[in-house]
Amino acid sequence: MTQLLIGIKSLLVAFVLIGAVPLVVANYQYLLVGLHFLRLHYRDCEPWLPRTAVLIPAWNEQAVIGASVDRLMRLQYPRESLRIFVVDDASTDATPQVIQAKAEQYPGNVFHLRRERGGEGKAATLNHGLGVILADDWMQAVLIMDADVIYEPDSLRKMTRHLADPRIGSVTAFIKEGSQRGNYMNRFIGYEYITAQGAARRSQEVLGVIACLAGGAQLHSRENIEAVGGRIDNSSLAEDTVTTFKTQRAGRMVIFEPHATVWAEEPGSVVALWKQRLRWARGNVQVTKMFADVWFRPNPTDRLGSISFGLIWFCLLLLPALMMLASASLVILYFIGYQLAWTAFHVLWLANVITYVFITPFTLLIDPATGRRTWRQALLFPGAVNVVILLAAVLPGPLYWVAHQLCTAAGFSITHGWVRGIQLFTYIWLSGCMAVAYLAKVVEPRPLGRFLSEVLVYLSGFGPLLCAVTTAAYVQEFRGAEQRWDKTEKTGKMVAAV
Amino acid sequence: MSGLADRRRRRGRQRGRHRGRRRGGHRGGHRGSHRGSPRGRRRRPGRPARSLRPAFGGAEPSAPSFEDEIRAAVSYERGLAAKAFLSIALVVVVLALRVYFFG
Repeated sequence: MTQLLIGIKSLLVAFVLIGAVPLVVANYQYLLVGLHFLRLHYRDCEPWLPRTAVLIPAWNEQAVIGASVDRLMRLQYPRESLRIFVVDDASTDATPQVIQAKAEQYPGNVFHLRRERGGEGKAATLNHGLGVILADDWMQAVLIMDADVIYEPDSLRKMTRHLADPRIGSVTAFIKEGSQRGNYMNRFIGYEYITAQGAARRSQEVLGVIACLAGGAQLHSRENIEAVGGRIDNSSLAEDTVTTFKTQRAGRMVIFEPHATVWAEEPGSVVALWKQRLRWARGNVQVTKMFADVWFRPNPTDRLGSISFGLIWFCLLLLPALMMLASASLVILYFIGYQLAWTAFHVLWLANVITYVFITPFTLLIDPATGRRTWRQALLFPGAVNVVILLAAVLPGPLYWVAHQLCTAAGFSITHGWVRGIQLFTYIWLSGCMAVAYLAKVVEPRPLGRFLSEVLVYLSGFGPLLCAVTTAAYVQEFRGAEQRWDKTEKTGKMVAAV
Repeated sequence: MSGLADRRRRRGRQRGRHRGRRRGGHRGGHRGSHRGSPRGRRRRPGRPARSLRPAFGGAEPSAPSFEDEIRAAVSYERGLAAKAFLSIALVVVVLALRVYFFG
């Protein structure tokens, strides 16, 4: 019986420590960012400006499409080498008229392609355009973008210079959140994009593999788009990730150009974010299944099968599951091995402190301009409650003193029972924060919901909110829920700001 | 003695060559070493020769050249290594505080 109990306790401690693996991997990724200068592709670049077809899928984009086209026509790129194909996916608003007006304003540069039967998703819309573009041999490169994305004037030429090297199949840019005076959600996303793009893509480039071309900024050479079948995969919700994987499987490299900046309008509410990220997270689950033969199987053509990349991919995908596992293990240990639970929690939380202190300032320094706007959200990214727990891990004495003073002022003293209750709460909070984040989505459409949901997001954290979305994606995939292309609503607020 | 002087002269010439390469720009420096490398890089057909110096067609003479842009990008990426080092130093400080003052 004692042996069994020791075995169970050891297993539970192992589960808690597995929760620290994503943190170790995150630190490893950020260390690689510091080594990015060793793997730059610039030595093989040339100022090459190929004939580029820009492909924009558009469904009810009247608020943004006109400005996007105007900005594209202001690119530092020869007009004779630029053609913009807007594929109107049976829009029901004024999108066709706006595109038609732009086609007349920029004859020979802007083309309106209309699909009479729409609603089949972004991939189907893109394939309609690709069919037209590939029909003649004018195009040397194709830029696939979203209707709301605004390109900096120098961005496209900074991307095409990599295609001068025939080993390169695709290039992606640094997409930034574009609402200069956005709300708290826009600023959270602004910070998150530095971690997910500015940092993650640099580290992946050091490893020689890119997980995903940004859907709003992917430049392909003609050879590459033909090599992947001349079509975009429409069987999953993550068509951009599938294209990225196929490109690398075909033996071509994918490059992230961090100095080519494009701006995108991102969701301004929890509900809109949920809709967008659920699609992305489900797409990632589908890609994991689709490329089941790739993971952890190193091969000479690409680095998709490398151990490092597999760890990065699965740590992100399984993060919510690992958090719940660690949390549940801690709660059980609390009742059957109180001291052991406390020690295991300390190890886990030490890893958390190191990760937070290393990653937060480094992320802000990677893109200081965005960092100046989003530093508050950066500090509260794990959630206010988690930040207090982190502080308690670093400064237990001073924090206990503050708590003691506050309790004395309030007229009661901290008893042993209180301390144990707080400990149990912190164990539960590890996964409970995801439930609170989910609550933020539930309350948002209700009266006072905007205010309440903002408070809940700050309390639970933006990171746990994304974990909650991933959990919902697991559930939907498991249930085989209908695959829907829920488009993110664009209002054009970013156009004015940029 | 004359051997030592010879060696110094040779070293001086080598240094001069390196400086010249650096002044010539990052790409100039690195490209030479990669052209005809065993990686077998080919020039993409239809691509203009390297004499195209401006970063983009119609650029004003005062605009940064292609080489300037590459140099700025490389320098930014090198700066990230320093930033990583700073962040690691911060972690060390926090851990030291925890161990020595609030342990």
